[in-house]
Amino acid sequence: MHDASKPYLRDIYGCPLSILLLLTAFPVCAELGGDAGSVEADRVHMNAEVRMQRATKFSVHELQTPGGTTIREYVAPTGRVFAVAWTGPQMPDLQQLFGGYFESLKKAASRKPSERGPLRIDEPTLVVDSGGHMRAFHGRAYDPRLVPADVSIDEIQ
Amino acid sequence: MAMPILGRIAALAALLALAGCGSGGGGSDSSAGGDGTVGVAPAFAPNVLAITIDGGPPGVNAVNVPYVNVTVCSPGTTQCQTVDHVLVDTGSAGLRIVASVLNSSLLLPPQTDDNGNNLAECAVFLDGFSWGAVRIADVVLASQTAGSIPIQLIGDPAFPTVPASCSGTGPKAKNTVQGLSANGILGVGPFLQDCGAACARTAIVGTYYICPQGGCQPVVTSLARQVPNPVARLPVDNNGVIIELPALPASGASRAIGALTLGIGTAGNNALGSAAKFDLDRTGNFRTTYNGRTSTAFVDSGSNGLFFSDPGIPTCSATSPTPSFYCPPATLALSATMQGAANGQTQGVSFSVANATALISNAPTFKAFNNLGGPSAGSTSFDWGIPFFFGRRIFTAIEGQSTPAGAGPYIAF
Repeated sequence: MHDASKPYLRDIYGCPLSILLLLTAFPVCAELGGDAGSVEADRVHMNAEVRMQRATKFSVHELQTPGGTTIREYVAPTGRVFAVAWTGPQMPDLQQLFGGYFESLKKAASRKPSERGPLRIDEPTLVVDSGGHMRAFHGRAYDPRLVPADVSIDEIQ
Repeated sequence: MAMPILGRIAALAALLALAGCGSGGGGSDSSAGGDGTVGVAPAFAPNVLAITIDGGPPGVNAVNVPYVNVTVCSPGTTQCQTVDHVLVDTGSAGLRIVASVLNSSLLLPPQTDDNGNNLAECAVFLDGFSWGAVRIADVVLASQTAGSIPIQLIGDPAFPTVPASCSGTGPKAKNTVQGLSANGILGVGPFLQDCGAACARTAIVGTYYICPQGGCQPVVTSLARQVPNPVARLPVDNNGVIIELPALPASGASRAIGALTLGIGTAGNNALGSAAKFDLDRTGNFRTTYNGRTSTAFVDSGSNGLFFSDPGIPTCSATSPTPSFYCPPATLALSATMQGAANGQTQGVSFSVANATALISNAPTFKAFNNLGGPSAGSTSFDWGIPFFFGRRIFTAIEGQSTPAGAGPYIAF
């Protein structure tokens, strides 16, 4: 089911210990590239509001963090999380949200000069747009290889 | 990509003209010296700090980053230190200083949570985070003092370990002068505190922490214990700020000098006059329409370009020195319409976007440009950064603070 060359989601019990300890504060463990099962597991574990919209092309799981930031996870019909997006007063813990892609983000960001503006990463396996300011962050990330062929990236907001 | 020859001649002519006449446009008395400096130091006033855009602390080489001097003192004493190259940021609230630039003899007591635990903070920016202690200091801006206020001491050895939930908020650790491109950040945006009511209600990762034995954890932090916008804590001139930067020639300047004035309509030198006012929503945003599309917008002196979405403008190559900016083949004259958050004031604004790589390579020693633009994150965000400030006098009013034009938050110019 999972391509071994790509990072994939571990289920909730496979989360690193540090993340499990944080579940009450920021109980999101689903990852970009992972499967949808973890979103459901998160909902149970975190007692958080999760809304799900099903569409024919993909479904969206929407999570609300305690600080009021909304996170959307886009799940393809294959069950794979192909994109994540966020908007709200606090930056989410991208390391949890990105899973294995967080190292790719760090590597790509380290190659760029120091930024004083939005952060934009455009790599073959990871695209990140992160913008806004203190109290109003927004952004999205996706793996272009995982985006279903009939989905436009403008649908990821 | 080289600037067209005509462009070079025009740029040279502009520079010569400025150097010759000694007076530029904009709201302040501006002048261009033979060394490429534009603007003059503001006249002394108890509520005015000089702003310098000069590349930053040694080795930083920052473009379009405005700096001021800030003095911090051990509370209630005359034991003080003036820190240069503190970034003036209308996109955040609170004073943050890199711990290593302070003399170890300067004693700043720890800020605590409601239970007496020492507080630490994770300040989150778009490309990374700054971690450090919250401490109490007297903060002196120009001739005025915000007494005994919490500030963040970034990279404070008292909190040596960055918790994973802080370092997970972004790719880069900005805990040093090099990482921050500054010795500190003076957040003078429209908010009273950096986090606000959310952190007073619940513990949130990536904000305030306590670090008992066994590891750091987020902690509920009341408004009074949070790092405040220092301007709001001054005895007078505490309702907002004005940032005024000189007009620049299209080729830029090696150095630009302007002013940060404290207060709005509180003294002879900070009247609103006929400035157009744009109210902000509770997230600090208003609206901007460009090319028929309306975006969420903000005015941010901590952004070094105008960041907006226009798929028709080529972005500079990823291997160029300016990969985050636009590189049109010729300079573009553009316009957008600003609108207050509550459907109030509207106003058209003209701006230009030049080829960033050409600008920087043609004048490698220049540090100030009014025509740097770049793509935004997503298609519905418009970030009016430093280029918007050149030749203008821009007011930022703090939430809930009264001004002659009504209470903040708003921006006006």
